[in-house]
Amino acid sequence: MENVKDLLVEIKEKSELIVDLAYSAVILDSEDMAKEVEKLESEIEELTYKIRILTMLAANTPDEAEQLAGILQVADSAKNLANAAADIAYLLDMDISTRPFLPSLFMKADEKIHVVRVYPNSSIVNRTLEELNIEAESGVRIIAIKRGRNWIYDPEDNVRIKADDLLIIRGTEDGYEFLDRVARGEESWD
Amino acid sequence: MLIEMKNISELMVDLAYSALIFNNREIAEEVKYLEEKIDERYYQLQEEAIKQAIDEGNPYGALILIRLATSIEAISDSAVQIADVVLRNIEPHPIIRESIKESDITITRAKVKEGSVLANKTLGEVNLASETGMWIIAIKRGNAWIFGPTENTKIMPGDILLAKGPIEGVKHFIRLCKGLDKKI
Repeated sequence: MENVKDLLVEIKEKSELIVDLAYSAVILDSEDMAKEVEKLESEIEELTYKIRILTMLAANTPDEAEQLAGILQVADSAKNLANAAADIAYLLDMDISTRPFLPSLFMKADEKIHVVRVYPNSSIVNRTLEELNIEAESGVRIIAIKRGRNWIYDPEDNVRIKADDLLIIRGTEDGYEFLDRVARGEESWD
Repeated sequence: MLIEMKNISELMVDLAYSALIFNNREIAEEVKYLEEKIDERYYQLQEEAIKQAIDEGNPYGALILIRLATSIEAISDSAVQIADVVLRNIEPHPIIRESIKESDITITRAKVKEGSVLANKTLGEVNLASETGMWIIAIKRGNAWIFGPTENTKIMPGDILLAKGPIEGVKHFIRLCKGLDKKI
């Protein structure tokens, strides 16, 4: 069952990531990101399939089967959630002339997704996400980093922030404003 | 209205996982109740979008709005489906709880002690989310619940706070509630 647990962790994390990425894809009007959403969607599909098989193998008694059915239901719900989120990103498949106002729909004051550009003189340049502990310190989560023409989705702790990175973030307004000042070099992270 | 739907659906997902991790029926029932609110807004939004399309002679705006709202509604349905596991008459399998605990965004709870820096302050004043990464998704006060508290919600001694955030933020959050850490 240890394997099932790891798969459940993975499916939960990925289903949360896909929601953030789907909204980001719409807000940033980014087809690259929509492609990543599509990739994640099929990964989640695969994970659900694996969980189903492992869970079924584990049932010995009717009581066990009932408990295990709960696991299948959670995995299946996470998959449905991911599918629904992916549909948001697929709005970008519509002809561009039909969706000029799409990003602005979400660009309201209470929206939580923002883009921050890192300037060369910022105190976060060349430091890893782990050193900065960004989420616990500022309430802001980095969903993706755009570096030149490449994307790093859901960056790991050991990823180092570079000058000119674009950080796609999700979090509080305060946290965003603080990180933006730090990224501009107007304030120090420490 | 769309943003409101989005916010409710996000709260529902957080509450659904909270219901699972704490095996709590009351939280699961709240998820079901919120689903009704989502549906009301969903039908209202469809109607308004169609009216607007007719008035302005442009169907695409309405189409996009409805498609977005449909996705959000489907997300909230998934939250109900997650919460439903708790409403069965069998305890959820322990690995479900463990998997939520071990996710990089986790859910935790802590009781606010008399001497805590959080006590008798509003969520806006303590700015917990920006300072610690921990978002308060619900508060249990005596027998009552406050689901999806706002900036103006005051934290009282004795409150049990349910929070979502990075694993790295959990220890500090618990120490803040216990009054062991004085600086947020």
